Amino acid sequence: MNGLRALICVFGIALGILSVGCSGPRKFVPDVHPDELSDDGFYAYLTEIPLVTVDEAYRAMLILADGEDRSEDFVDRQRKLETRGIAKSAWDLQQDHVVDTGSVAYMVCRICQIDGGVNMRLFGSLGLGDRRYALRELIYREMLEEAVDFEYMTGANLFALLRKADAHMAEKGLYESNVDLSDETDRDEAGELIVPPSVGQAPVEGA
Amino acid sequence: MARMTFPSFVLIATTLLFLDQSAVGQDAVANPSPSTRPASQPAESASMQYEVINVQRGVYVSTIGVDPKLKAGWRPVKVGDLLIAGEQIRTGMRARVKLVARPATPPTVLMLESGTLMSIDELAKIGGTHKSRIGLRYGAVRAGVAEGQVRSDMEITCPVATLSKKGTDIFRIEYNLNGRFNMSLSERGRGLLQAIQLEMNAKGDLLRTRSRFMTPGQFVTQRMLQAIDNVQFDREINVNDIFGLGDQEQVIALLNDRGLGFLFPQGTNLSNFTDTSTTANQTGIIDDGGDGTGGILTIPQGQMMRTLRGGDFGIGQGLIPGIFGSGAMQRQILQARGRCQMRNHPACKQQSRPRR
Repeated sequence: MNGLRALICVFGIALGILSVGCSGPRKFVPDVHPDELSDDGFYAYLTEIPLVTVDEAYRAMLILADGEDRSEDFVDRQRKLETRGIAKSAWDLQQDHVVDTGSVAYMVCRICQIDGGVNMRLFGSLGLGDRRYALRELIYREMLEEAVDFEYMTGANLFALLRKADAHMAEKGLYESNVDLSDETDRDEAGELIVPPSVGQAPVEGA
Repeated sequence: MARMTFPSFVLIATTLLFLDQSAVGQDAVANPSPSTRPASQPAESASMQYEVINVQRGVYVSTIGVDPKLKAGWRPVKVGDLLIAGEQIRTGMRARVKLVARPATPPTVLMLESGTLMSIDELAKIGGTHKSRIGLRYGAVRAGVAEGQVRSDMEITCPVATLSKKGTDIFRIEYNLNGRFNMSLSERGRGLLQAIQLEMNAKGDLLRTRSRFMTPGQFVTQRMLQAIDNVQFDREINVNDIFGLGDQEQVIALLNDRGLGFLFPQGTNLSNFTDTSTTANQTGIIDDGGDGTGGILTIPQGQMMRTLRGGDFGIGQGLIPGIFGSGAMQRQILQARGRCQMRNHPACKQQSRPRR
């Protein structure tokens, strides 16, 4: 009986640790606070930070989803993302903690409408390994480097992921994109490159 | 005659020396020789510019050196703006910009994808050559340069590699930090593309360079593999016209594209698709010239077709009836695997058409 009780205690402790997670506050202090930056400046800010906090990841996801972030604070961002099903309250992510790669992958898959394969649809929809399968789906699509779902997200990786996710959304038609340079749009019938004529002064498109 | 003192001599000598140098300088200004011509002034140069043709969402330009995180120093780009050397361009999320070189000789088009920071380090027409040096801090740039009467010398440099083009359109370079880059030439592209990878030590000293050339449809990453080695990482998506394919062709597509070959008794063993039928109406994929029926592929006379035994995980089918197979098919399998050396095997006792 004592042995059984000890075994139950060990399992309980293990489950407790697993449920809480291993993330913690970021020790790196940036020279400029991200809330003081515009959306474009925040985009460049991501290239300079070693690790990404949950608040920064939430802002990046809103910029990816809507093209801009008009939230007032972290609580506002969290509410928007959870309402739209992009993030989950069950994750219990803290504002200043470092975000994990799996959570970011899940949010990107939701925004880019990537449904994934059998495992992601079957088990992910039930909440079993949803972040894990989302990460593996993005790795398969070469949008992320090989990683594990509990690995911390770096600024450079998040920046690269946002670029590729944005390109994916443009290809999928999730937002209108009319500037392109490709074989299909910029070659004449003879296969020669089409050079647009001078336009002079014209109104800005989509600014 | 008064004797000249030493200080006086020095003063006079210095004065004479100064006068002589001044004469040389004036002469140099009036008639500059190659040694006295300022090094920064080329023989024949004309300014070039990039004209903004199309803009999508937030695109900003500033002089090189301005912090991309901050708003100060950046101005929004609009259609018709002219960008010159010494400026840098930044695109945000969902933003793109298309530029055209002016004058358009040779015709040059650039497009910056979203999330790009690019600097125009050098842009000038020097001695009949359109010279452009572009720095890519991060992001992706596509460009097309059509060779014309004026030769184009364009290089795009990211922190770990340099792209050099040889009369090329349309190419793409992407750098996503962490030392990873991707350079490619479009399928219908023209010319040759050279990727030069820079390897540096911790101090930033250049250790060595590696280069790869790319032809249309090829790409190179930081691994600097040959194009043929990159193919294995480039996924191929088969699009088959299921209504235009014949029965055998559909089976091959099913085997190769859907991974359902394990359901067949022989795995990926294609022996059942050889043209071994005795009926004139049946046609296999491989035509070995046996019974006069035609196949899609032809093997030379006397050449054996090698069967793949690994498709069924090497365990063999033996006497286990196949899921979709038949007795005749099993005999073909066993004969192909040389099982007919077992003379008492019931399947070998029945006669079948010998294989070539």
